[in-house]
Amino acid sequence: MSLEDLVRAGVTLPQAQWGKRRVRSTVNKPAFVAASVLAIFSAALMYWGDGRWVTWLGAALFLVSLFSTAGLCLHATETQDGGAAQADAKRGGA
Amino acid sequence: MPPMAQIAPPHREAEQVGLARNLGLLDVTMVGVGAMIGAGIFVLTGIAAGPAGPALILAFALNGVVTFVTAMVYAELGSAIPEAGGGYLWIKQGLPAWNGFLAGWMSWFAHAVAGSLYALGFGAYLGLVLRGLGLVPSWIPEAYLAKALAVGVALLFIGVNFKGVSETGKVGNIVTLAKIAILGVFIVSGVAAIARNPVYLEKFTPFATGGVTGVLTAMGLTFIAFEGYEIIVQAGEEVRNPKKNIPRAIFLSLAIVVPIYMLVAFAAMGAVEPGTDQPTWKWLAEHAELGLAEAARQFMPFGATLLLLGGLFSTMSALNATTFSSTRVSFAMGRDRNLPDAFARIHERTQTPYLALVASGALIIFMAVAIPIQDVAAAADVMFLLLFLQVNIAVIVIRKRYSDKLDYGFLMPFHPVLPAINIGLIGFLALFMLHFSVVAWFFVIGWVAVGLLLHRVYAFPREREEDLTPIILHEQPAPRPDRPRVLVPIANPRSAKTILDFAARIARPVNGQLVLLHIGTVPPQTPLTCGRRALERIRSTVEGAREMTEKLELESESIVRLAHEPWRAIVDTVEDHKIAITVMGWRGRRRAPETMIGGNIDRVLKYANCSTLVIQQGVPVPARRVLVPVADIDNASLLLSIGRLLRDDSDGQAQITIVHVLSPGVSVEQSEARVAKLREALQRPGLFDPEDAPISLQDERIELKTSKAADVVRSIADRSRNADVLVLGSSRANWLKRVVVGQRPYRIARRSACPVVMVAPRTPGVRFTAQTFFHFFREEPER
Repeated sequence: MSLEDLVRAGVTLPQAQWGKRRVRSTVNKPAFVAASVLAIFSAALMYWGDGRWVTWLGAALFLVSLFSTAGLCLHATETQDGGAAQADAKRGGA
Repeated sequence: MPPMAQIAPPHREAEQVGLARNLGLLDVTMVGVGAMIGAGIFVLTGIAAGPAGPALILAFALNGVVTFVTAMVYAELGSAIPEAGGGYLWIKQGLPAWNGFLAGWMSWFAHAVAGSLYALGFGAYLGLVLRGLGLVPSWIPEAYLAKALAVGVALLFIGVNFKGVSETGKVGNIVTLAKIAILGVFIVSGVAAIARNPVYLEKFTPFATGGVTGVLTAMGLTFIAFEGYEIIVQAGEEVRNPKKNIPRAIFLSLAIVVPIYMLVAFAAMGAVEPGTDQPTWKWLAEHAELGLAEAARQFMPFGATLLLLGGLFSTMSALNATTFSSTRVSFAMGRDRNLPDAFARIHERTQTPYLALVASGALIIFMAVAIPIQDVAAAADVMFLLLFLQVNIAVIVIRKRYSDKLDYGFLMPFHPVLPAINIGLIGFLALFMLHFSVVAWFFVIGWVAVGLLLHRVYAFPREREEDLTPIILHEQPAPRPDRPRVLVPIANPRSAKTILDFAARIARPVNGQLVLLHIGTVPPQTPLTCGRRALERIRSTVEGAREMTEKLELESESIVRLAHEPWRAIVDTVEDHKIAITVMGWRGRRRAPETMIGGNIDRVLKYANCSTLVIQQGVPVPARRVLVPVADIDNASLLLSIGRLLRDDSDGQAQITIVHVLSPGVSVEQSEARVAKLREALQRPGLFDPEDAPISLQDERIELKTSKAADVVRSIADRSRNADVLVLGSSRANWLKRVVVGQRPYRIARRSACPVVMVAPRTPGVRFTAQTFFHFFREEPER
């Protein structure tokens, strides 16, 4: 499929807005990194805990990181348009 | 009639054609959860326990990590390009043409082989049940029995999908909830058993009995249990606010499913007593696909029965879903001329893509019969991994090419580093499966090789350039606030004239506009965008209605909408087109006892954000004797307005009779107070009158009668003998009154000697069922 197909399907922005928006994720990057590091760390704890209390600590921390990451992504869906609009405003608007 | 406003390229349909959006956030999240918690967890837990040991919990967690990154890819692309083809179309957009073909080809195989896995799982579960009941001789080997039953259930669901029946909507949600409930009880029972015996925690040591290799093998084997959220994107054309709800549903699904899987593994590993010296994970592995059911037998109340039921329902549900999805993929490839045109053929009667279905079913059955269940699982896993790998590549390319042109509801962070890392992880995991099952890779490589050859010699020369999607939604200018819009869903041409006449009587005094809605019903197996046949079936109705409205000399527009459920199309149109009043026809017979007047009308009354009139077949328009029973004084003015519109004003002789029935216990003072209040309400300007024009009951030949009766139903029904039409209204009633008096309004309509017009006023934020719609007969008004 080409760009024309995307236009015909009605999924593109109005042509006047092409190239005027800065594409930037609104996911909180430091928090995302922290949650990702926690996920890896907790997986390591689970493995090296060898079934003892450290394993279960790791499992609990893993769930914390999972819910945190999901929460960050959910929050990002609320603000994705707003982020783009702010970028537009800074650059003089679309 | 003035021409309709259209904004469309010239080769589009003359009418406006749109799709009905069925699914809200909860619905589509349940779709994802239901698709993910399929048979995988029931069937694969025992099998994967062998390589990983107790570290199966870790394998599930790490699969959650890998899946989450791919889920972010799907969330990004699904929010920007919510197409029915999902990953297949994104790969076509982002990668070279042969990749696009290969993605569809591989996706077809992946879904079909997954279906084989679920069919075999069903066969194993049912075989266990039949053996337990002594219905199967013991000399029949388990594997053969499972395969025979797998073929049987696969044929059953091929038939189900051929007929166009689907486990969607309420039934699908019930099955999903039942699966979650059964797993929930399993988890709680297992955790409780471990809590009662903390020594059970020692079973988790050693943890990673197979080392890193074992964990990776278990990840590869169970990866298929983590796919299913991509169906959220495939349902994108039917999701409300898809830009936001698709990514949200994907993340919510994963946040629900991953912890459930980890807890299932914990409970299965920790709460089982093998009865021998062997560790639990070995015991589970010996029972393979029945491991979870055998584990439940030990510690869960009615464990074996519930898990067996859960396994049976899950495998059936998953088999139905994969038969459905593999058919859709091969249908899409046939439509795009990547496969023979026969794949795109839709059956005349059932409106389902029957040849694509037969081909997919044959593939499912072949794989179920040809190789053992472990290799089937591995083959499906590898294929899904390779598909997801391509989608991760596609997201990088699409972001590079189109990011400034697309409207994203979600963007993944650290692009392109994150998808690049995921490509590495997925690729590694897929290759690692070679260690577990060479047979699986044999089939995968063979299928891909055949696909590449097919593309080279067949598909590539035939690929079309133009977009074959037959239906698009025409954008409409926003309605002017001073032009009320009256919606008329047209289903039956014979009753259309009466309904149109009445709708015109509503629209004319206020210079309103008629909006005619024609709904093409499409079976769930067929994507809405491919409902061309449904359009052709209703074309004569559309043209006939247009001719009728021309004679009415009112501005009107026609909308043709495709939907799996007609009521959704009506509710969506009310919302999209700012409808003030909907006028619907009703045959007057109810199909099922639990619905008051019919499933579609009930739901429109419940969900449509506008006033709704339902006209029973046979209502004369105009009428000479209009009977309007009023119980809820708040609705009196509206009911009278409708009565006045129905009345024949040609010779000044037609009459409206307002009836207010009181219970015999009401005192004279209370009675007089109510009548005075009612009279005042009736004299207020009506729905379509200027605000400063009160109504004179005398001048308008409106008679107000009050009476007392213990049997309100009979009283009204008796009076209806002297009327041409009965106008019934709705009111709010608490749930207790609905339960107690629920059937009374329907009895009135059924006993009425004349046809009925039902009126449901618009009450934002309040949902009416048909029962509350009829609950206007009460002794005292409700506050």
